[in-house]
Amino acid sequence: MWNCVGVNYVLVFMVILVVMLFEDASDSRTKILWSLVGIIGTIPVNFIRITFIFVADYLFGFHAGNEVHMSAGYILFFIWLGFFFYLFSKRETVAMKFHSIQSKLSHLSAFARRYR
Amino acid sequence: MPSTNALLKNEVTIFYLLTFAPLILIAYFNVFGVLIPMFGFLLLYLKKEDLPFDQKKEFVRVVFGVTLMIGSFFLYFSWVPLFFSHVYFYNVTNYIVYIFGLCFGFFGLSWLKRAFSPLFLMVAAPASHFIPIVLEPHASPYAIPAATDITLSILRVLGIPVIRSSTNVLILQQVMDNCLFR
Repeated sequence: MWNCVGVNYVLVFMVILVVMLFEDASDSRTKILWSLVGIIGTIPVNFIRITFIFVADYLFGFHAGNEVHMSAGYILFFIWLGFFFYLFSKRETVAMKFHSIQSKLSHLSAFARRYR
Repeated sequence: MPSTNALLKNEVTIFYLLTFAPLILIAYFNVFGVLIPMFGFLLLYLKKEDLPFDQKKEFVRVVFGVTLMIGSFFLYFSWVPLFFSHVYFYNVTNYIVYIFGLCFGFFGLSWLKRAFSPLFLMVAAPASHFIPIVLEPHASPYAIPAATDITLSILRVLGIPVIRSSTNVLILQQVMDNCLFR
């Protein structure tokens, strides 16, 4: 069961992250923030993996479940890695969208306070 | 007489061909095992401009490098009786020794700093599998029940009948039924 928790994936992800961030020229605050996002994101990916294995087992039987067990981790992990680095490469756009949502929310809360 | 530029280009091609070739062997033994070394290879390829291909080759250095490269193919025979009983004939560890030999033969020790990231990736990613073994007795009493709870909730939301047989084990209802009716 310990292997199912996904500690291996988190550690491999951390190694890849160290390498990629070592090569990147951005400031350390951005690097730390994105590292946290990446490491925390690995945990739900692992739950998706376990769910896939159970779903395959339930719907298609033990052999299909076993096949999914052998490969789902790698496939999902590399999809997450690709998605994360895509987001990381577009980090300025992501930050801008994040700030615009934040400002809209603050406007909304100010509006609500005024009419309460 | 070929120009220096053409020779250098040839050398770069040979270097990257030699770097790439063992990846086929790794993939032959374990398809997914090739992903991290492939990533390392790509990083090494991106550093093409930084590597000192124009450096003069010393005979002793080249011999040492080639010895390491050839020796990397025979690591299996020293591991299996001494340390591990079930390893692939050729895996990431063989590749690390091979790359070290290849780079040492081509560039000497000066490349180490420049090629730090691909090598760190190839060494640290497989080595990271040993950390969970150390962590297990300390972290598993907290992590496993929590992970089981979350998985159980997800599967119930999806409508998959699962039984929790102990604090840490989930079993599909149909598996349980098969066991009971046999």
